[in-house]
Amino acid sequence: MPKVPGKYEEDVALVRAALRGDQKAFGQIVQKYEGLVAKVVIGMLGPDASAEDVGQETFLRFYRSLHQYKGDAALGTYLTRIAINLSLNELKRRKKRRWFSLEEKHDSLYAENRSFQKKDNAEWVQKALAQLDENHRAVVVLRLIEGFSTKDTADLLGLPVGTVLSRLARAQEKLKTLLKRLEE
Amino acid sequence: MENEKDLLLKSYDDRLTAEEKHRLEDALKTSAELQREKAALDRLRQEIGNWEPGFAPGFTNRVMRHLTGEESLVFQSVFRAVALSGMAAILLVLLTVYFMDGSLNLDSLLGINGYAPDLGMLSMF
Repeated sequence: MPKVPGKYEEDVALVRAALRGDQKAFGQIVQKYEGLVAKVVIGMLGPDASAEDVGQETFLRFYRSLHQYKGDAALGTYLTRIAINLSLNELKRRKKRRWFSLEEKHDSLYAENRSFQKKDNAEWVQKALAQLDENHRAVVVLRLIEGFSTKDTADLLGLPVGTVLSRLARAQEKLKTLLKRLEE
Repeated sequence: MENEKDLLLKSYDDRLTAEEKHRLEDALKTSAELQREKAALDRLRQEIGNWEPGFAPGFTNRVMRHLTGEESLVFQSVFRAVALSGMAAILLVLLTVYFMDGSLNLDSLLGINGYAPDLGMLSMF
């Protein structure tokens, strides 16, 4: 791994230590990026057990591919890429399960969506996100919640910037309507 | 108005040209509707941006436990693979010896079954 001066140096040092078998170093990485991964997976899946599983799997996948991290990108971006892909896969699995088991269309987690009231910011945002389809939810999570640039969001999702912009516009329209409805 | 609304949305996530910036600023000065729209978008983005969900406490420990469990599983599976192939090799050697010498006594295993001691050499002692 080349010596990388600058902003990723600390992360590269932790990754190198973890590669040498220092589990404490890997623990530090998990601690540092736990919040970021939580935002992605809970934003995409809601705060249920599968979000925790996907969060854990994100770090386990990263651990298994530690040697591939060369320090040429922010570790946060690297982990976000794993987390968003695993979350989208989990949503696909849920859809399949619903198809086979003829479960109701909405996640049980969000069953009471239609009549939710704005109790606090966390609950409102969570339930409002659930009203978006997964494509719109993904751009909102990456751009508005994680704060990635529009270009980085496009890169992470493998989409053209124009598509990200139009999805963001549509998602914000819907979220704005929801927020307005809550305040009436 | 629709164009200005689109411009407003674009201004949050994309670069505006100097001309677009100018047009938006002018529209914001004169249109109360656009000002309301901007206030609503600002609030929405702030509410969403401030959202801080998290895993249940102890997440790092759970990941590390998982990791340790996984590593010992890898060790166990490697150990099992080595042990199985070792056992197979030993069995093969034993069978070969048995079929060649018809017995599994120590001489056969050492490959000296049927060799008579050299009496001349023994007489020296």
